[in-house]
Amino acid sequence: MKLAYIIPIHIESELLKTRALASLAKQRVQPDLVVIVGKTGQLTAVPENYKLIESDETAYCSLVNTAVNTLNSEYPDIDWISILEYDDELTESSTAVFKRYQESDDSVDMWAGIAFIVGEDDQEKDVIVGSGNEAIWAPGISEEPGVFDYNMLIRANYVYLNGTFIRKSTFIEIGMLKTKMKTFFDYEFALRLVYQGKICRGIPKVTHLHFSSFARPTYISQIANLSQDERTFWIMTAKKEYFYESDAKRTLEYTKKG
Amino acid sequence: MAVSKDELQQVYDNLENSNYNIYFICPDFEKPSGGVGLIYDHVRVLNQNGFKAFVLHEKEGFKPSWLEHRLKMGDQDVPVRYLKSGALELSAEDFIFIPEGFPHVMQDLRKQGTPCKLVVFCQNWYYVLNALPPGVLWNNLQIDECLSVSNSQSVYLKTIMPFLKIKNVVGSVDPTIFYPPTSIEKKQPYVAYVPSRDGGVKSMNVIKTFYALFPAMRWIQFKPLVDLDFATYSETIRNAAFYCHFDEFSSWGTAPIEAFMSKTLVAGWDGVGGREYMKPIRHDTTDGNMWLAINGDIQHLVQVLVTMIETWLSDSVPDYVYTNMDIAAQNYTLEAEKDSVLMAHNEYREERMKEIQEMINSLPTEEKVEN
Repeated sequence: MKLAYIIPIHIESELLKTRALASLAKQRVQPDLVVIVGKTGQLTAVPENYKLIESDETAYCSLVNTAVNTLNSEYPDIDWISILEYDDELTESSTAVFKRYQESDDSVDMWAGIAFIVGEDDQEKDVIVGSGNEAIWAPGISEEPGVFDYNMLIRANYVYLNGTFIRKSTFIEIGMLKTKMKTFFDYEFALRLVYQGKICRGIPKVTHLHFSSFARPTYISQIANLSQDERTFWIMTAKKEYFYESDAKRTLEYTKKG
Repeated sequence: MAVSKDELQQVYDNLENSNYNIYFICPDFEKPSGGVGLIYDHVRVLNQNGFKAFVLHEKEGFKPSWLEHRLKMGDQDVPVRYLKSGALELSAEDFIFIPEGFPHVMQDLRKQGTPCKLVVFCQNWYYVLNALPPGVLWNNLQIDECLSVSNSQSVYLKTIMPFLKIKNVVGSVDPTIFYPPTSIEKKQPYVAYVPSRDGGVKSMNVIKTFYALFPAMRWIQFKPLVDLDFATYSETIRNAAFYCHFDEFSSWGTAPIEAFMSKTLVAGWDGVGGREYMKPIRHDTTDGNMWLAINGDIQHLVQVLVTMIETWLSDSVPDYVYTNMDIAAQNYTLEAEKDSVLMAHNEYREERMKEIQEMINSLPTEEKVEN
């Protein structure tokens, strides 16, 4: 069982080194491969098990899909992937915990560790302001605690894809990430996984720290800045899209009514 | 009541031949009670090892059905007698063990001139003074012997009643009922707990404080261990990553040991009695087995509870914690309980025989002595 972390990066940023890469270096169990895809020119020296893929692409989904295609052709022995944003951190035990849980149940296609959302701005600095992927452990969400199922995804339309561990073959089989989804693509991906009968379980451990800032563009600030109508549009689109096994060739756009 | 030398000799002979009865007065509780279960366990152990022991309930026919399998002794029922039936015949060689919260029974038995040995069976130090009027101790009821279920509790008892002669027994937790899951990865992030003795008010206060101070943990569920059959109770503890102990007034505390044996991490109060085995986890030692809070302190308990949860979520629980949990639990095996119970009752028998022999020796033939 071999794991690759994929780090999509679309801008030059010191956070890549001070957060993502620094946290990788501290892993109790090292991953088998790290793939950095996007603006890799900012890196000078990297460890041997790092693969750099230079790309001018800026969209998250496109970068991740590019990395997986490369893994599929050049690293066939890698069978698990996990996405780490350049400005996020793994907990020290992340890789070790994943390997332990995967070994306990090989039938699972996606494991989702808990993400702590850490504040960056002002009074929230370094404070845990929220969590991701924790809802599956709360009562009344999933039919069975710790399981991503359709009921859970209808009740909690937010899945934290970063920090999940996905079987590479499953990721490819169900059509990878939908590049046409500007946002809520992680939710759409989870719906597609569950719809196609893939087994998705939670790991009740914190594997990921996501740094939340409204002062700089992050995924959370992006969602927070959506209007309610726009948010509803993307959620409803995600719910329709997941029926498709591969990326449908049509444009998806939100247009303001009236 | 005066007895003759011959009658005393008969008492002695009956004791020597194990021809006497041991009664445990037991309250008629309709709802689960650890203390009632322990009485049934002791009666079972004694009968299985050559003694004649009985549970003594009040109402004719009463049966604590919630005890399930603990009502049985192999294919038979644990022997029970009833006070109300009036059929109870007590002899000088018999023993009656009276719960600590029943001084009215102690007084009644003395007034009736009961000839047998009276011993308090103390399962919870907290109820001792609760049940006694101010200024009255057990020696005022002519009782100076006590069977206690923990050393910590015995220290307390000896402090307030220095005249007491105390024997200790240990409790047990059945490893065929309480054991860890097949894989530690099956643990789920919820907190199992037994509600506090005040009807759950204080434990709910702690839970609400937890959610108020740590809203990011609002997804952590607290599961009360109430109204559950044994199988569901043990399974709930087994699957829980955490157990929180809310007992401020405890003789030793069975549930934390049940959690230890299930490899469920424990945070909580020691209740005084729990000092027997609870060792706090600290930075400067490696003998800790649980996250201990100041007894009765709500906010401190919330803080240690969160520390425990965060330590587990970050996969940072030191291995020695689980090792120390196992070590603590090893003191409460069925074998340890049996040995302690048999030792205590053998000693009671021998001491009573010695007492009777001294009474015999003090008498010339044909004289009687007041019992």
